Amino acid sequence: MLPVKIQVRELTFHYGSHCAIQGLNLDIYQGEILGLMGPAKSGKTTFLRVLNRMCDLIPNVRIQGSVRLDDEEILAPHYDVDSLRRRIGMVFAKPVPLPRSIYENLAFAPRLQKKPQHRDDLAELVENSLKAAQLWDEVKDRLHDSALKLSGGQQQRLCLARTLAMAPEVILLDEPTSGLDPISTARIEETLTALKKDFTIVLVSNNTKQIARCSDKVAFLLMSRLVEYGVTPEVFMVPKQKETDDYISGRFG
Amino acid sequence: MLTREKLIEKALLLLALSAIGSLALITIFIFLEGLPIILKTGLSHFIFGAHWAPTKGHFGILAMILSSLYVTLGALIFGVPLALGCAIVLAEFAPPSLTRILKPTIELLAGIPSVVYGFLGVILLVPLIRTYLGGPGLSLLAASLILGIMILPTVISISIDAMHAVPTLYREGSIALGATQWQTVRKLVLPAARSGIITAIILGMGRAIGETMAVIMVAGNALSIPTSILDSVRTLTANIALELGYASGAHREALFATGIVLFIIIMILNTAATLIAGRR
Amino acid sequence: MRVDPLLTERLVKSLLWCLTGLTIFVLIFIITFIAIKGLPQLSLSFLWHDIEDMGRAGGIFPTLVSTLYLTLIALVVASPLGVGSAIYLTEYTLEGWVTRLIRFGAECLAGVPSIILGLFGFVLFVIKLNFGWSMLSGGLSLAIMILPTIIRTSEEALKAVPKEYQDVCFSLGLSKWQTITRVVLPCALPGIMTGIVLSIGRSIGETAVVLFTAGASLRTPTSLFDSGRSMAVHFYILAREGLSMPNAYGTAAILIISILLINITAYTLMQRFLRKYQ
Repeated sequence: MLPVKIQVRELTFHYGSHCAIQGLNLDIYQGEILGLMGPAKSGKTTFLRVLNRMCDLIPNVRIQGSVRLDDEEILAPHYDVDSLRRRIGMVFAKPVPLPRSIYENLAFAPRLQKKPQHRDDLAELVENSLKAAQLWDEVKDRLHDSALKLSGGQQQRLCLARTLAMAPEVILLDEPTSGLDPISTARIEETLTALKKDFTIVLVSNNTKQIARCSDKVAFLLMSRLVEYGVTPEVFMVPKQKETDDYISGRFG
Repeated sequence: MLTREKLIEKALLLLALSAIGSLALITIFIFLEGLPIILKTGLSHFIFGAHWAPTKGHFGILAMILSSLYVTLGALIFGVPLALGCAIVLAEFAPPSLTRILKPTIELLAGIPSVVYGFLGVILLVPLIRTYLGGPGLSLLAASLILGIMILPTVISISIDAMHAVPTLYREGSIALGATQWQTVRKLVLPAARSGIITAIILGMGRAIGETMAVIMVAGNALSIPTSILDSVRTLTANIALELGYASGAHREALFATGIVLFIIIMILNTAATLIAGRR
Repeated sequence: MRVDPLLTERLVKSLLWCLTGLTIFVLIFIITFIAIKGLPQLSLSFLWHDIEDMGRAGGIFPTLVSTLYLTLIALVVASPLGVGSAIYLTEYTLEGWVTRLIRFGAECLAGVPSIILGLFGFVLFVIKLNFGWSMLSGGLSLAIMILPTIIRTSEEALKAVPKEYQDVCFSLGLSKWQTITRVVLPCALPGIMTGIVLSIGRSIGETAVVLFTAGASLRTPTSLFDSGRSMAVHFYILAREGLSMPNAYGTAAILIISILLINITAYTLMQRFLRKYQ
């Protein structure tokens, strides 16, 4: 049995008077990919943003419950969110390279944390991260070109590599392939599967087939509630709840 | 770390208060300097008194208030039709490529210093008025014309923006119903862009009433209530600028008091513009 | 009687086109006239010589120095204030009464006529703080004049930077201040520069503020507390007192050319900035 990395208990989240997550209980295990599926507005993205406290940036929110990372409460009021976000990286739905070179995009965060002191160490970190995101071969000759010149799929892998360069413990992915073609999507999925031995991954997607392909465990959210949670093949073969069955067989969503 | 971020936020808030702080300082100082003389003379004597002889203790600024208002009104009469016509053509009729060149050109002209306008007024406009219409040439008419030209860039530019903000879909709907372009503009675009255009005019008005250097040069600066557009006039702004250099004591206070009146007029105009713009 | 709409259309259109033509003619005429009259007066010695005989002879060197001095002081004071205000407004607060108050202040300040700023600078800097008629008094008064422009343009530039960049920075564990200094400000810089460049143009052309705060000394200012006349003030005095028409035209030409060049620079900067993000 793998150790629990993140433990979520009775998490409730409100935007103003609108309830986005209600009474969520969930364990995320180390070294696994947790797939999070559900129709639009079911609370998936909000949940990701609670995990790295990006939800702090939205005005007028109320959070109750507990989220523990390695047995440490991250919702505590004076918790150091900047270092939390270095431990929990995030890749967004839309690839957003910063308007700098490929190399600078990757070196950006490590340099500000002053982690690798030496230039060669930094170059090595950039190379390893790009290799891990399977982008190295395509960009190794033009590391100092603008990152904005890359194709959409390459940009998304660059964003993944940028997150990896911070050496996080957990990676959150918010519909990372929603704007990509099938070939780029396949490459990202491949990369994720290769990465899971070193990281804990939470993958949000409203593409149920992608969840079925990639994830080890799956959680199904519907209307702010967790409807079903289990080992991926079991949930897809014999769902316990009727809503899950209806959703994965495409009757709604 | 956290405290550093908080510190930065507080420092930035302090910087952000600089504008409103300056405004407050300006208000306080102008009122501190000017209010005593208004109270001493009496508000109604100050505003409705027509006799300005500061060295003899007569402080009535009615002539200047009226001159300022007339000059501004004149500027609007000359400037607004030109500006609106130009804005309508550039926003609705002219090919977009032409507008792309002409709009920035007109905006560039907003940068011409007011002294240059005044100078051109003196050497070109004033002799024309003197020769063909009579009078001293330096006159209400000359000041109105020059100010009318000066407010053109402001009014044109803001009006074009207001008309561009009207969705194209409306126009297409109107044209599809068989309306001509002018009918569309008159019945649809102008009403929809009304608040933006009014804001533009109010801002132009503020610019005209507050203008100093150009007016000093062309208005003649005579101290009497004008009875014809060919009379020489002295505006509130001109009065301050002409006498501040040598005034002292009660005389200087009276100039600050003139400033108070001007300041209040401008603030009313600004607030009106903000309210109208905010309603959009 | 009903008027034929097509006839009205043609009449109105020709009238409006005439108005437009007239407007543009007037504005272009101003520039051409000054250029034709002023350019022949220009020479290197006109730029490099001291003012002689109250401006009847000699050059305009001291006014160039004064103008530069005043503009520089105004920029040094107003840029941090303006850009800081804009950062606070766009990045640190939500729309509320504080932002409304700050924006209202900036808008009102933008509308304050220059003569009032001159009065204020005169009483506060020249008299109360005892800086006298000086570069410092003039520069500080100009700073207040250009502050609203810098706030407004910086705010627009900061708003144009995609919000996603901030999300990315936060997700990489950057603090808010790091995000602003490393990513948001560099991206917004061309837009911010537009405001600053426009302000340079306004400072150069301003007369009323400078006349009552920096004075009209003919000497070249060497310290912060020296009086000196800016180009615009010099031009005003030449023109008003009719001292020397050729010199007046020459000064006007330099004034207009420098301001137009500055404004064109500002415009090109802004266009390039907008193209990048739209």
